[in-house]
Amino acid sequence: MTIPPPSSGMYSGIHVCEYPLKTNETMNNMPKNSTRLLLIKLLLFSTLLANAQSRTIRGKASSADNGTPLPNVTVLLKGSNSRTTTDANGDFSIPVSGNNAVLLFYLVNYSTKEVPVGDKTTVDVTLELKNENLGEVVVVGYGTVKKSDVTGAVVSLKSKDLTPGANINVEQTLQGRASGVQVYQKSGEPGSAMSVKIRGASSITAGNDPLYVIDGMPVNNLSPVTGSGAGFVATPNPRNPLNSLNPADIESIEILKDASATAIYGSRGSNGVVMITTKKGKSGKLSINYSTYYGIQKASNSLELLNGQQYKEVLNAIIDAGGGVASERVTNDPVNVDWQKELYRTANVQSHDLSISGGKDNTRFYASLGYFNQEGVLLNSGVKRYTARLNLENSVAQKYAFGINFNTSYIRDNYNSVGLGVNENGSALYAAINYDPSYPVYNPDGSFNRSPYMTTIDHPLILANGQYANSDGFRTFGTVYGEYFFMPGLSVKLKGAGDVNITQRNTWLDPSTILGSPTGGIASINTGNVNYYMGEATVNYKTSFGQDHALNAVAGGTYEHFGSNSFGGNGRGYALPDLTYNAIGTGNSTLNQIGSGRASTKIISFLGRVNYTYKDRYLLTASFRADGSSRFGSNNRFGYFPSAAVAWKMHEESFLKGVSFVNELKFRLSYGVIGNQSIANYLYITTFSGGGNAIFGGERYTSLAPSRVANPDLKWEAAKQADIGIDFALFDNRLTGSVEYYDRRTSDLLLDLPQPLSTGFGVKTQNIGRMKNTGIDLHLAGDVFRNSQGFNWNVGAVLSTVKNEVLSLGPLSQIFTGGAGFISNASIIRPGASLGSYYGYEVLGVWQSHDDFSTAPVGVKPGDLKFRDVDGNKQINADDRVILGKSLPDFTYGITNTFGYKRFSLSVFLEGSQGASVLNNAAIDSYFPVSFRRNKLAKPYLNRWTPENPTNEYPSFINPTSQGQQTVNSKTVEDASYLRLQSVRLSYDFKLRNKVIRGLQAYVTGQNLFTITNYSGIDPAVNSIGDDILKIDYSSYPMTRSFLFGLNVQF
Amino acid sequence: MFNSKNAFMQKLIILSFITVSIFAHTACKKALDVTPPGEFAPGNVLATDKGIRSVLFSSYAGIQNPTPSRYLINNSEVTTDVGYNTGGAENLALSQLINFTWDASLGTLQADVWAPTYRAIRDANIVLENIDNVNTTDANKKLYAAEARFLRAYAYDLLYKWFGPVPLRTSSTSEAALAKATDEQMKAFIEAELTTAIADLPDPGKEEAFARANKGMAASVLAKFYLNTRQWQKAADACRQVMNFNYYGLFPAYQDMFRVENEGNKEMIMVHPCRNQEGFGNWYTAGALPQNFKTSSQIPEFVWTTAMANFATQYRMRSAFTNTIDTVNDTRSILLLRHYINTNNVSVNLLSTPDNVRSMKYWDNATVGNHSGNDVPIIRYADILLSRAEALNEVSGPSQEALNLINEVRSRAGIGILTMADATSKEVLRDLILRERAWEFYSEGLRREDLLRHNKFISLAIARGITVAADKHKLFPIPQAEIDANPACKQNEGY
Repeated sequence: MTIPPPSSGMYSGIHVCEYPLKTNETMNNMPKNSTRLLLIKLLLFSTLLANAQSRTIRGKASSADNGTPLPNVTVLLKGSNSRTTTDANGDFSIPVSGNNAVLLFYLVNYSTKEVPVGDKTTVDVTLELKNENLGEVVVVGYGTVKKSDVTGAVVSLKSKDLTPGANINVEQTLQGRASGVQVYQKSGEPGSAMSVKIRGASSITAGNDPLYVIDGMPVNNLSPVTGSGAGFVATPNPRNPLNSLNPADIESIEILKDASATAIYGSRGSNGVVMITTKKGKSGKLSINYSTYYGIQKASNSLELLNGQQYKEVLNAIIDAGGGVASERVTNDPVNVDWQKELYRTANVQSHDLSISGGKDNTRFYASLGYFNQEGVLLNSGVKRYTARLNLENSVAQKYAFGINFNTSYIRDNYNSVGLGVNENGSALYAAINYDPSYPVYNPDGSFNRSPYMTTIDHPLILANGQYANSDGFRTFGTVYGEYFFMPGLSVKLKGAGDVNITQRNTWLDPSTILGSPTGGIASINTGNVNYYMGEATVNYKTSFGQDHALNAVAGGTYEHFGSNSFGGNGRGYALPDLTYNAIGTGNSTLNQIGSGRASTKIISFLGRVNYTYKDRYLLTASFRADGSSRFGSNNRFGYFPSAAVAWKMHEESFLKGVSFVNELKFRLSYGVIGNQSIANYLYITTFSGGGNAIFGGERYTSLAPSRVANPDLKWEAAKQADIGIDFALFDNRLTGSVEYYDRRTSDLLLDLPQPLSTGFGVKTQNIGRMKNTGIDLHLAGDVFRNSQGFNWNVGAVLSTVKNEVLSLGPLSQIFTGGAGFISNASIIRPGASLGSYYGYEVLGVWQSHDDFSTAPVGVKPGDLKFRDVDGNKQINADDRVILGKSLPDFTYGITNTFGYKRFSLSVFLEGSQGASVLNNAAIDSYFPVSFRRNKLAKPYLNRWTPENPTNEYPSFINPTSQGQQTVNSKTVEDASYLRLQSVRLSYDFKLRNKVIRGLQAYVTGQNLFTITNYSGIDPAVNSIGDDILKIDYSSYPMTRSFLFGLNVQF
Repeated sequence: MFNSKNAFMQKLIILSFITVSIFAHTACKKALDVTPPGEFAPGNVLATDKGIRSVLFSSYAGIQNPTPSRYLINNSEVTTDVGYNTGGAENLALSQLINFTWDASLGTLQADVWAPTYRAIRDANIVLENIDNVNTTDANKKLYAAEARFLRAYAYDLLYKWFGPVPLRTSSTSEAALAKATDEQMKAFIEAELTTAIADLPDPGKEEAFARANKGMAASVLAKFYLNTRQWQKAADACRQVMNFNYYGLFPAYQDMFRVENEGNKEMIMVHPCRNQEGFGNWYTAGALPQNFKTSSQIPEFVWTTAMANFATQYRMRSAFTNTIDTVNDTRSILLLRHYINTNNVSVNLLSTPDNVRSMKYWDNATVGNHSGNDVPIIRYADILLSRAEALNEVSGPSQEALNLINEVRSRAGIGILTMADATSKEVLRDLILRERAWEFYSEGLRREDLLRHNKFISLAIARGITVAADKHKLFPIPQAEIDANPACKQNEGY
């Protein structure tokens, strides 16, 4: 999809980008320049002719758009030096002779028009505004292109097109905004990373995250600290390193989707590229902007569990019916504790952004400060961010340009114990879901009251207060560049970039907790840094020859270095736990543990691209990149990534010129090879690393073991992607949009191929297997009402479909993967099926008293779940498993309605997903309880099968594991389709007659207002395992509903 | 468009750019070579004393199995007349073992036995292949080679007990796809390698630290190998060899033998060494503790604290076994928990529920969470005594020498001695020995091999009502992951 014209609402450029310092400026001006040259040539030519005047033609030039007169139109008699310009009223007069004269009308930004005069004396013309705004360009890899000349599949979003609200990171703002981009929030935990996939998943193990490029710097998105502190329940949703970028600083985001756009990023392009451009200063008056919002958030949902009374009734009834054990009978007088509510709170969020921008002479700047503070709805969680940015540019047009972009940030994360731990390792939320609801929270003396029946699970509030972590992250990144123009069309640009991300995470397990008490508290400190630097040299060349040919080329090379260091230590046995990790050395020193790591990667690349335009109608782009990566074996060091695309601007053809309702019609086709190299370092090198400790004489001895089976033939994953698309703008640009179809086939998948375990190794990373993704990206925008009596209504919609299919796994027939809690191998990867396929047992219903038990598995009783016995052997075992659904949706969509009335604006944004499933692990814990006295989901237990209630829906729960543990089944794998009212924003622009304040806008926003879904868990979008592909809902941090009030002030 | 000077310049620039690029391309092939800063180069590891020693220790780590030792115990006992289990996540796997419905996908076979054992073999092979080139003393070369040889032979002995003949890897460069050895090859290899290793290993007590290999350990493994393969005379002789070291002896008080403070006592010939730390803990007690256990008059020294885990899963002992033991005189019954006081100070009688007695063999007041520090015995001196008695009986029927050996064990337990009047026949004594072994070695993971040796593994299962028990169950299936990745390796018959 390219960028629709300015009036297209949702994607409209609210702000004409200025890139005056880049080579692209000259490129942008190229048509103008070439037309000027043409005019000069014509003038020169015309001087050779001396013609007598015979009559004067008069006329008026006006806009085709709205009929207003156009002044300053150059009117030229073709084949002569005779010329004039229109006056303020658009009128002109010019002398001609004969009946063959042709007049040329030329005006910047308008289509040039040729009019044969014939025998007329009056010639009125209307000139059409060119669809492409000359100022509007699209950022692509290593350059920019005029948006009308885009040949690839590129989504361009301006800052105003992004989802408003409490967004800490860039991804959040993209949700439902760009076709072909699937964004979902995995957790309501502040600052946690979101899942962003461009056109689905292209890899099984080598990562599916797109490449982010900020102001030309590819972002190294490794987390400096991975894992968690000793004994601490892991937080599987990692923090997003992109949190360091303040969304308020973003000018535009371009999403490169097809191979012709991404192949310039070669071995990192196969998951798509997100180009982020930050704001620039503008010459002129100093502009100060302050924007702020404040809001409150609440958990949008919680699990419906048995309350104390129900718990007592249900559990005792099951014991009466023959389940459980008599000693586990609930005998106390129950209270009703909602443990989830005990952990939740109403949380504040606030944001303040101050920016100053301006410029004088050759220098422009943009500077900003940002503060963001979001409390989590779960106790003791939240994030604070402080950011500062400076963008500075100095240039003399077509002589030189210099600039820097500089971003620095400090992020403070507070983590509660969230995660996948079970039993005593469970998180506060896990404990809240499982804990006995019949005992009060507190003892009479105010201390926490542990239920005597919950010895393997800690008290939820003790966990919430006694197990926590926080981290301080400092990240600074930026680019410096200089460009020198040898000639107006030829420049050399040198660019350097650096990125340092330093994080320290502190973790504490208090002795008051079950896990902390044996060791007298556990303190951990994990630090790490991830660093990156890059040098880049490019030559940019542009020219046009003849009237019809334009060429724009870039060639260059880059060197990139990725480094990481980590250090971690933990201590135990604190006599006084008061100082926690701040005095980590005051514990029992014999229990201290330390560790460290260090790694680096290099990529050396050569790249080139040519854009060729013929008659401004036929466009050709060809690009090439050679990537050498130190991640690959010496046998396959370099990978080569070519691509090509053609586009045809049909609306420029004469046969469409007369079709008045067609403003734009562009046809695009592209093909290319792109790669993926997101695997571990050093997989081709034979080395030794730390092995398990041996114990001799009661003491531990370190050991060394071979690190891996080296594979010197390792190379990048290759994806071949074909793309076909149409962009259109119709009916005076009232209806705009694009449709694209793509087919991406990944081969040489980087897979950890299982080795015979008898070799002593588990896996060997190899290039094996193939996968296919196909889909349609659709984008539509329409002006339903366009300023009729002050009322505007614009509708924008995006729809993305992805069909994923594994084509081959090489010698493997299938791979089992995925799980959480007590569950493993919840998913199967096999040829013919989609990635993320859930694999388990089909539940047909519940065995009823009158059923024919001769076909039933041995021991089955009425009230037990009836599973489909696929092989009919009267046993429900592993051979009876089938694919139950998939975690990848058939399609995702977003619909934005924007209503404007005078100074009011109302924006309503709906987003949805259809066809995905999720494994509900909380349901598994209820259907197959590990321990009888743990709390259960209310609905299945209150409506369970009994002889009096012979339901086919829920079993009796008397002997839940009588047939084994068919935990992944069609009851626990649930449809996760949903439609969500993601945001509603009402804003008002104040009319100010004030010299100090130039603009003031106030707004209220509601986020995540309602969700329509059949999913029984807390939210259909949650994913607790942090995986790109597979989705499991287990003790998930709740999603939030928030209401914000905000102000934007311009001084 | 541009004048000729400019055109020339532009060509020049492009040309020089291409030239530079070509140079750069050539140079950067080398620039892309990296040395992993956090990993060790094979040259330093395989040629130095400390390096090769570290690889040897990795081989030890592979067979020591501290935390998974509870699976080695349970897998070998819930399949027999001794052990039982209910509840919790571990019951997922254990119920398949209890019911003889296991198949090649059973995770514990791969994770706790096959994979770590073969890692030990891998590392032993590396040591043996490189030992000649290591820069160290000849004595160390001889010692390390003997230890590696012992570890590899023990690993194959363990695999053979569980799976029968397996792929016999004796080189780190052998084909990934390797077929199983024959039964003769397996047995010959284990016997020959252990015999070779014994010669170069230090005498018992002369090893660098307890749990490093010594002659006694290797001779005991060989003795048990002969016994389990019914090479009776060789077994009797090998046991004698262990006794002749005059180093080992029975620990005086049975119930204290497994305590952390008595670790490395002279009865413990070979153990899974454990520490009360993450990654090294013995988790057996956390599973064996009944719900809300606080203390018991049987073991008043042991008091549960909130520092200790108490699993949802319940490791239990079968009534058919616990009902046979003399709870009045036999001190071995002290550690079989029959009643306790729970955290609500209520007395609970475990005998009121069938198969509900718990083994408290590994209780440890210093338990940290799941992690108790008690070593799990692999071979005790009592086993050598009873093994020799069994072998002598098989060779020539009941004898006073055999009875003396048994009585040494019974006396320590505090029960009456056996006389020739009790051992009326070879068959009778055989059964007496098997019963004695149950009382002596419960929760030590020996019952499966004992029943197999006595041809009772399947018949007793059928007697328990497990109708599906069949001859194929005498061996466990080769883990499915091996079968999938190693096409040359055929699955055991019946699976």
